[in-house]
Amino acid sequence: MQIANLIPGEPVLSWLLVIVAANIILYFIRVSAHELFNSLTRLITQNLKLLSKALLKTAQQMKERNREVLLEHGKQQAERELERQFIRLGNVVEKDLHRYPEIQRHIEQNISQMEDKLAQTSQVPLPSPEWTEAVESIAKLKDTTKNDAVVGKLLQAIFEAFQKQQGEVLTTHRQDVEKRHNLLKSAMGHWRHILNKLTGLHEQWQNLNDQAKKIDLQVERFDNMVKGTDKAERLLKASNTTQFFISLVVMVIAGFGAFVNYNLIALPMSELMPATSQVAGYDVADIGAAVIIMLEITVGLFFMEAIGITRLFPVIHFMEDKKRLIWAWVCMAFLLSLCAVEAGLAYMREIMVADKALLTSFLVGGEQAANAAASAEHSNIPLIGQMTLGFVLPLILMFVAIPFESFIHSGRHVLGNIMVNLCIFTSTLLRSLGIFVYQINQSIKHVYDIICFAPLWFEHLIEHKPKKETSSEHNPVALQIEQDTKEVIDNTNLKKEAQP
Amino acid sequence: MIKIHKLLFIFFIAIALNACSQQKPTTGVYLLLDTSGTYTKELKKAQQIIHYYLAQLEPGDSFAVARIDSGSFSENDIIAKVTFDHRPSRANEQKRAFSTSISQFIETVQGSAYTDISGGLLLAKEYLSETGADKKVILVFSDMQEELPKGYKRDFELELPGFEVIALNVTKLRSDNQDPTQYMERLNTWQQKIEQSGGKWRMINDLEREQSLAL
Repeated sequence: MQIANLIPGEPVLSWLLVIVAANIILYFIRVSAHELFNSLTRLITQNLKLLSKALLKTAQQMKERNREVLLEHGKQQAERELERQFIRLGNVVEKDLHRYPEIQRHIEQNISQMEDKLAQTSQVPLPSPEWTEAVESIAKLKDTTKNDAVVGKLLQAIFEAFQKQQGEVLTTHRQDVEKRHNLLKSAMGHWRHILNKLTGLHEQWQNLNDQAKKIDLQVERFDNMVKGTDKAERLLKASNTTQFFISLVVMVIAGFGAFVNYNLIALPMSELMPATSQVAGYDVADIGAAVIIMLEITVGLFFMEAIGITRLFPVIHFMEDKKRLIWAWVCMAFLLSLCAVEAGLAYMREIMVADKALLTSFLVGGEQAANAAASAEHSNIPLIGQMTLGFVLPLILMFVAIPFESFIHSGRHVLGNIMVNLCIFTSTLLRSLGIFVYQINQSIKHVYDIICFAPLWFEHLIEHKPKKETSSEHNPVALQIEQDTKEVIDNTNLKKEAQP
Repeated sequence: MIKIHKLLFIFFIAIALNACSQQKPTTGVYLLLDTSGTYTKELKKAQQIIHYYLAQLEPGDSFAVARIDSGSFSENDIIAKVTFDHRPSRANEQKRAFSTSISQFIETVQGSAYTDISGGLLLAKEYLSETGADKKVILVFSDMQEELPKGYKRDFELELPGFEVIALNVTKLRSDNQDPTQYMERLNTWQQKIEQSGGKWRMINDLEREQSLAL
């Protein structure tokens, strides 16, 4: 039955009747309707609020956890660096200072040799012969003509002997001086030797001091990590983000390397595996090639772990040194085998490409063209290049373990941070949604009131109709109580409405 | 216990992989060569087409070449047929052998008096259905003028759903020159016949364009 035909022949009246009836119904159920809207709004907003708080709490917990992980990772790094510094220090001590007693003995030996030589140089040569006394005795002889000739001869003889002796003495003296000079000269060598030794020793100690300073810094950093200071956290955060992006770039480059490697072996793999089979839409041969590359990377990871460069697998890392060495050798053997396999596949690829070219020549130009193509001279450079690439690429891909480790460790923190921010953002969004729902509720209620404005207007008129004097108007105490009650009710209503 | 779990895990992985594994979509190509009358002069072109498809087809695909003569619904009319090995090197050898067979045939071919295209199509359909190829293409290198010997009945439904029939190098006959509507009518008839049988119809006359020859 149509509304317009409610009163037959009177569509306007029918509509008016319906509107009036609806208005009256709406007016009578107004309070309940408002309550219903409020309840629904409370249901939604409180749930949103709860969700928002839960997300905030999760974000907080994740932040704490991230901080713990970050500091733990930082501690591990600092430990590794400290360990490395101690190893260096140990090497320095072992290399340089274990020779210290030997150096000391050398220096003492040189000093004693120098002392000996100095002692030798300090020996005074014998005094000149006692000519002077003889000359003095002759000079004391009486001055007579008889004695003149004898004295003259004696003096002549003495003079000659003296001259001769002087010459000899001079020569001896010179020889002595030369000998002493030579001794002093040879002592210089000892001086230089001692100087060199001492300079070397000084440098070694200096080096040791530098290492000690570095260790001090590392220890301080480690201490900060253990204490969990904000400075340490800030430094780690910055370092981690940088590490993440660097490792990401290196991983992308390695990915391209793996792609080149894949293309190198995908074609020949079709000769080894059924070229007509597929798994999940991909050729089995292509999957085989990808698996070989993944195996190479895995073996590379194990090898890097075994030689102690990365610390991704605790089982390998905590192996005994001997076992770890055996493990490393085994990994290297497997890796080299895979390299050889790849080189072989690269060789096969070249043969297949040549065969395909020959077939094309045969199909295009017939047997003659194929024979001509086969007998034409070919350069072996592409073949050698491909084989070398096939052998070397897996070894290069092995090094991807280092950025991979960095990526995993720093990625955990970066991902955690992203999740925290996402949680906070979602929480804010939910709170905004709650406020929005509350405002919508208010608007709906206003719209409701607008729809049934007529009865409300009447109610308003009736409520504000001048009242007859009541007993309370003449009773100030009763008036006061009435006003207080009204205020309390108003306040309660306001509070209720203010709650989202 | 852990070992059992591992074994179960490997077992399920193997089953999952096996379930995922499938055969690569293969193509089956059947080329019908018209050897009637003066059309034998066109066979050099057909050889180029064969070489083109030999170069294009991959391991696992099937290829057959048969002649259209007076009665083409006979295995004796198949000149060469092959399903390429999954190993590319072996497939290349098969292609060489196939090409040699075709060359020998073209050198020694004798013209036939009649042209039984429908018989050839039926044989092609049977062969391609047997290969189980995912994509089935029948190439007809002919002027599409069917002439049957007396007593031969070819007014049957071909039933070619999933097949593509490509008419290659449909040359104009002398009578077509006099009345081109004959040519158009001939082609329309074949198109209707193929499409009514559930197949797809295509015609390529410009054999120089590689793009149009692509399957």
